[in-house]
Amino acid sequence: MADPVERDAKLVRRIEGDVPPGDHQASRTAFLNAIEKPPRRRWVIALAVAAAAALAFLSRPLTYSEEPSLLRFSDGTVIEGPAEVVSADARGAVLRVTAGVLHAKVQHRVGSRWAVEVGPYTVRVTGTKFSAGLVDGQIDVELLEGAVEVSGPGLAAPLQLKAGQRFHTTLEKIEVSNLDKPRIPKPVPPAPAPAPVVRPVAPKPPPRISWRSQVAAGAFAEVVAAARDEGLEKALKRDLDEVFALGEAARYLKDDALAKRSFVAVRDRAPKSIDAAQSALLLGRISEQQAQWAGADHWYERCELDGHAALIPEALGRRVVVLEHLGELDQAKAVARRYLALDPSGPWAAVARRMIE
Amino acid sequence: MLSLVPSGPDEAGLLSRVIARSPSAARELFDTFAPRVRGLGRRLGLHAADAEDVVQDSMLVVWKRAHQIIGPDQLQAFVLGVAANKARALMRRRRWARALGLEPAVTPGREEEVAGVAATESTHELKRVNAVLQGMSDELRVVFVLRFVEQLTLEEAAEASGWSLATLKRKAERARAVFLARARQDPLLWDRLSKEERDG
Repeated sequence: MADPVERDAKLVRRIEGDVPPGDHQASRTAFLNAIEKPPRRRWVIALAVAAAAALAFLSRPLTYSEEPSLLRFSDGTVIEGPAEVVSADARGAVLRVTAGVLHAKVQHRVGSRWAVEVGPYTVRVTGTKFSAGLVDGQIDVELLEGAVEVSGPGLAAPLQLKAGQRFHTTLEKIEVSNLDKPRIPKPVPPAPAPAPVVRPVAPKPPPRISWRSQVAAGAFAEVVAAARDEGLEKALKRDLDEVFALGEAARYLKDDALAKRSFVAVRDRAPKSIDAAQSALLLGRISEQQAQWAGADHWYERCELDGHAALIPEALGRRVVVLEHLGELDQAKAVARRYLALDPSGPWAAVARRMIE
Repeated sequence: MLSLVPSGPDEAGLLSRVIARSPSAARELFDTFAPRVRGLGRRLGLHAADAEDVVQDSMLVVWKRAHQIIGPDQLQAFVLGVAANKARALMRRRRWARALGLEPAVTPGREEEVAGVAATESTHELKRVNAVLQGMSDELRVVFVLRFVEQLTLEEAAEASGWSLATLKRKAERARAVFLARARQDPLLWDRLSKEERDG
């Protein structure tokens, strides 16, 4: 009698996971893209935490204490003089000077925004030391550190003041002078907006797709063609990943000469890397496919000697087969024993046991 | 027809290439196992979109954790084990979503999947067998599918499910018994089973 469970299980096996080739390719591309993403670095997380902390800090509204002729803000900004607080929020405050001279030391923070209204002018501040005054109808802004931006009547565009500069206006005329020079009333016409400088922009080269990604996507011919276009000498000096990928692409295209050249280049350049051991294994495979048993034995032995544990069982298993072809039975037995010691139930276990017996 | 992926030198070679992060290994890994994982998901009762999610999640885990595979012939069991766990997690989420009223009570798509099988005289029977299977608990269904449908050995199924061999044996027997008991509740399947028992 047929086992009913076995019979029904066979029926269920007819529910398949096949999808149209296009869907499978799209699914594969999604997978390949996902594994191409670089791992998230710890410093990125630290940066994100710092940014979150800064954001949390910035989102707290500023508070301030008033003393005679002195304002102290919770972010460390200090204002001396007859200033009136128009508004304050998390990023800074708007102050107003109606008469007298204000001296400010604004604490610089990312995203901070301060402004001082002096008569009809507005001085926008990031982090700086400056004074702003309105005395007898004359407005002065003197900048000691940092940079401010002044806007108001007579200025077609905001005027950038640098450290050590003074802005002076009587509302009829505007002057900008250096603080270290005597205060000479030197009329300065309102600064016209600087004409935009147009520089020719070189077209960006198209983003380069790594050979590794191209090989992963099956574009073997494109990789080999690109290497030949570039010149093999130059191509073989690329990053090791790229050279290894070139070897793989050539191997898939049965261009054994190029594949060998690429893998040997990888071994020459980074003899202790796992790429080198993998290259030895693939060089052995190529030799084996060409029935070059001695060559295959050499490369599998090299792979074993390279000492990368993940690859040794395969190198030993394949070497047993190759040594049998070479008629080196004593050596094959020794290698078979080493293989069985490492991987007693592996894919070459039966071959190895047969060799020993 | 289901194509079983043979264990052997090629699978061992693939595993070593995956561990060594060979450029073509990811593509080869996906092409070799994605159809199998997708099929497992659908046989466990997931609709097509969920089965695809299981494929993506499972293949990523396999790619990242291939170095944890002990023997080169364990790749297949490892892949199916990861996929079964992902599928179970998804089924659990779906159950909660249904319980909270966030999803319709019946998972759409299961019928159309079964209907997707080429129409033959046994399609009707397949629908009934599948209904019996889907009526089992998630745990027993996973065991049943891994052991009897995917035909993993007891050792492979134990490795895939993460249970000890003894536990897996107990659960597989339980899954078999539950499946037969439920099948006997279906008039058509009951007739067939009775006939087989009489003939036997």
